[in-house]
Amino acid sequence: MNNSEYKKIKKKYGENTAKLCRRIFPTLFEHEGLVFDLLFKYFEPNHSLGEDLEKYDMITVFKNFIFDKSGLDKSQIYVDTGKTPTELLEEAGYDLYECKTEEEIQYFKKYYASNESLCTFRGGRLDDCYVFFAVKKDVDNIRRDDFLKPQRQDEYGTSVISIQFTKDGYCTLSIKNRYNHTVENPDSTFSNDLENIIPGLTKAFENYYGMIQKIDYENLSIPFYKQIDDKFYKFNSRISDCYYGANNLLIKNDKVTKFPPEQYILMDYFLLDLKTGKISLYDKRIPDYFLNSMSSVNGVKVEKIQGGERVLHFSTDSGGNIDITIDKSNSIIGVVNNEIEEVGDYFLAGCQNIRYIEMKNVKHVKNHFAYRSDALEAINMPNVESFGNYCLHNNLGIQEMIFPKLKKVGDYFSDLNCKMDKFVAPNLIENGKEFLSNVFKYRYLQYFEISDLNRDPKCIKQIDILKYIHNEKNDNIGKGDRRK
Amino acid sequence: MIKLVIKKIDGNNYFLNDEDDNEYRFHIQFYDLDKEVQIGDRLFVNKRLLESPTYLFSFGPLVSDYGRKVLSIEDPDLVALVIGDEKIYLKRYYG
Repeated sequence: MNNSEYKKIKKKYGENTAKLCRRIFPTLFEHEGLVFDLLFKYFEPNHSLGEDLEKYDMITVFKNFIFDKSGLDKSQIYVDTGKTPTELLEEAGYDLYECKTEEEIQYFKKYYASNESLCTFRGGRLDDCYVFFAVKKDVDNIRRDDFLKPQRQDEYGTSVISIQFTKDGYCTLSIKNRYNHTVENPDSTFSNDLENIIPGLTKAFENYYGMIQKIDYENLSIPFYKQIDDKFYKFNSRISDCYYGANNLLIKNDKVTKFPPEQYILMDYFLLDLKTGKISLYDKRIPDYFLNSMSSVNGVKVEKIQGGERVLHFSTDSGGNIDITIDKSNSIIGVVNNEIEEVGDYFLAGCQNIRYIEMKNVKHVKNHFAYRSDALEAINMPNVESFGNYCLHNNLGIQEMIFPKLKKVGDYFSDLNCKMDKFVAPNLIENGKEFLSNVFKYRYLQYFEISDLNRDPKCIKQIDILKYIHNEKNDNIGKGDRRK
Repeated sequence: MIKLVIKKIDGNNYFLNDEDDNEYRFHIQFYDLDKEVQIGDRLFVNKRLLESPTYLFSFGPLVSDYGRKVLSIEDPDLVALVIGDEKIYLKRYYG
């Protein structure tokens, strides 16, 4: 491949994107400058494109999009081995079966756990799709019980796959997983790319079965990317009709405006003036207490850290410091503010990429605190005593919360989280409705501690379940002992 | 939830628009519907559904072994289909 083109991609789109392109476009790189030109035409440069495509499982979609736009004949893109799908899958360790009747489909039901059965077995799929099953030759040795933490691409998940193409003329491919809905995106096993099973399989299905996939690019949609005319722009936040983009871009009414980077940083929906250290809102209607919490700031220094991230060290009138960390797309990912004791409404409510919050002196938090913090991984507020309503509402993934002094939380506190395994608030005596409701429904919770004075029946029930789990696991743990 | 309006139906291909006029084509299999989906009907979906790497979807009644248990109104697998004036809650089936 052309090394200068690789370097150009790396400079504009980051190293991960360049590596991804090198991996998925080996044939396109034979046409000098083509990959870079296509990227530049359809994607506004940003250094996280590769990571975003991987995160949202969009690599195959992206690959097909670029192939389509390249104008090259498919024969120049996909390898033609001259082999049949059966022969190629044999090399990949599978036996391939084509199902032409409902009975043939039902034969494969035996491979699936009862609570992971494919919707295909419900019947009628042949009206709509061509259905194949590929079964690993050693399938009898691959047992569900041996896979306690299922991953879509693990040995069990890929040991029996159903390869299906729609009969609607688009011939859209879907590769179904043996875990089915126990894992994320089970209908996109191998990222719905036959080449990921074994190179040449796409062409083999075309040649042998006539399965020519037609991808509809009018439908291309990448999370957190806004398409304007032909070009995709990454954005960090969207509030009403404004898209707050990466790299200081603001998109409103399909018009793109860039703030000069030597003076400004657009961090989600906040605009930092590097000369004064002051933060303002582009849209003054957005209510966010974060702005108030930064009102005593009198200067800022920028420190570059690893991975293209930057720490903004703010000095305050009282001689203190506030640190804000932003990622390479300028989205806020961390806040350390030990200057304030109270937090008002909507604090960072629209910041979806924030990963950690440290506010050691805060005692009281009002409503909608970190409301959309999907990505929050850590929260350090050891002195907090109360949260209002809808705090941490959309947080999905934080695994541990420890609030030693917390006494009261309002309604919908972290109610969508389903991955938490430890919640410690020994002084919590009052909670609103839907408190940790998803946490209680899933069974990941291993440690749960609140005040004995809390009389919420749901919490009491949860404590009982945990006692049961712990007693079941370890007879030495006495009744009432909630330690792991 | 995000409101999508059905603009065109071609077999199981549904062409939908959101309120920002973004266009989507979904291949959808609806199970156990008493009424026929028509142009102009609306589908309310969680934004996470739009982030899915596929646009082949199956939706059916909430009480079914297929698909995950739907736990709340904000569950990403929950959709609301409005046929005429009637709202029907369905969940996403997988496989």
